[in-house]
Amino acid sequence: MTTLADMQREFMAHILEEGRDKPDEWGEREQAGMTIYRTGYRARLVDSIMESYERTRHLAGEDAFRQAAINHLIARPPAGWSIEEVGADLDETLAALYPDRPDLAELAAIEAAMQVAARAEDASPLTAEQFGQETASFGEDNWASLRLEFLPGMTVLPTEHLWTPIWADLALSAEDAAHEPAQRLEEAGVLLIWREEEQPVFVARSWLEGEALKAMMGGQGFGALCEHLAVQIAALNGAPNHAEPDPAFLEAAVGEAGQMLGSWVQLGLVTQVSA
Amino acid sequence: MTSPALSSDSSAVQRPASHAVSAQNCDIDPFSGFGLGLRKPHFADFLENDVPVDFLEVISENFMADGGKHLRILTEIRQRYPVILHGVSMSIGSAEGLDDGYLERLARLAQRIEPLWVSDHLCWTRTSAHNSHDLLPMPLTRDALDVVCDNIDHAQNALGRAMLFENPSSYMAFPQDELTEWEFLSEMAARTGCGLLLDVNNIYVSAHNHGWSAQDYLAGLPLDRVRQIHLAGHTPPDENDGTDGIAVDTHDRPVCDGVWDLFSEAFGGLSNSGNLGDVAVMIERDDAIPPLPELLDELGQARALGSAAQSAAQ
Repeated sequence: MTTLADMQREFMAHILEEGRDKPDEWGEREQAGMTIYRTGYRARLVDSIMESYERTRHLAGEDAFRQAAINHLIARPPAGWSIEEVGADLDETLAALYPDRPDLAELAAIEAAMQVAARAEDASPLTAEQFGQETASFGEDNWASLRLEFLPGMTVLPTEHLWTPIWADLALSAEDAAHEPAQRLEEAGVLLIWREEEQPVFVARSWLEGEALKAMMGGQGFGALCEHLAVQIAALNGAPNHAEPDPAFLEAAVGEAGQMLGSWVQLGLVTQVSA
Repeated sequence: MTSPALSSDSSAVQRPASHAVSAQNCDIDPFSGFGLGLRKPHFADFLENDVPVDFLEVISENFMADGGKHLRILTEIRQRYPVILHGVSMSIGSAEGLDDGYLERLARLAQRIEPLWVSDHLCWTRTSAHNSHDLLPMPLTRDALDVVCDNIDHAQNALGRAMLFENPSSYMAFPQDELTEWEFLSEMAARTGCGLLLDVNNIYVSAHNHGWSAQDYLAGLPLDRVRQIHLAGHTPPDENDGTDGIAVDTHDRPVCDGVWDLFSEAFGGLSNSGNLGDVAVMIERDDAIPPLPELLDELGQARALGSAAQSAAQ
């Protein structure tokens, strides 16, 4: 006996796979109905990806992006209930399809991260004044064990391209603006992506700061961060690799970490401080 | 018409974690009025103006986020209008059961918004491996009816409230079918205590596609279980090349004359039923969304026809 589960798996397979042999009991009428479901599935989900990745679509061009969206649906049919997730990992599809255009994959990853930030839990960042009050009585030990909580939905993404100058233009379709491939950076860095009030935003930062921020987001204390940065700075200066960093590099690292921390507070990324 | 007030502090509202829904009666209070489906192009209209609608319906999944702009907008709109949460992804007909993570998020949204009710469709959307993001047709078998009733029990208990389920438009039937759609819906409502959302356009479309009688459909339903009516436009078969004369539920144009006629019949039937025509009637538009005044004109037509049908029934 064919169960409901069997029927649903077979039906889903026909939606996903055009040309699959039809069940014996299906006549022309059933096949015509299936065509509507299959066509509707593809059209709706491709449209959803086209809408969700507007800037990547403009940068790639309509036809190239539509082809990528179709490939993505075939390679990674959605499993989750949220239509927002239909384009998940689109950057990997773009990287495989257009290996000579790494800017496309990178931009898709940026847009995906901005969508995550847009839907993330509401939270109030600490102002610089509040942060100052929270840490006013900190001694050296408190600073060493200081830990931070950051805005929900915040992401640190690697970047090899210059996005800020072309970001506004990328909202325009190819009919309204000529889009050239994004310019490569001389040094790879990171983008910090978060939601400011209700608007997802990003800012470019150095690779070193990105690593530091990821470490703090992962729960590392400020003292450990300073020591880690000292090792990095020593390496950048060609110093021998020692387990204990040179005090001069440690002092430089504390200064560097302090500047980063101040910047994160100024940007409104920090929601809580503890020691 | 009465409009339930939203408490200013939603977090103060306490609901039981689990609530056994009566399988005998639908314990969703009727709400009488005329409303619209709220869509993004009209957010500002409803936030900034006093729009003459009695309620708004939103697609639940569009607001099942942890936070952000859309959730804030819905919360503000709820301060001004009664709201219905209408879902498209519960997949109540899934043989592999419901997604508890989905139910948890929906319950959280319902607690925050305090909707008139929560609804979804008699359909399935997914297997455990894939999600079609479409309202796929149920085989109308006894086996499927058991699955649907179990899933509705699960959903209603998870949400702590009875739900409404909408009759879908469908483009294919299964040779294994054992029940008519109206028999399936009737038994489903009787066994689970859920209410019905009667989509008149879907009856019209499916009746055309499957050769049913829309009048038999209406006559076969327990109309006292109907709490809401949907009206929408569809693409007629002559515009669907290569699809064997199938009408498609596209929600991209005004309601057609045939659907208006069927609405009058349905509303008259409801007026003579146990709920005396106390239903929430609304226009759905999801594509080619026109300026709000056009939808309000269409809603005016629904009000006029509803009023005439109610008078004729008395």
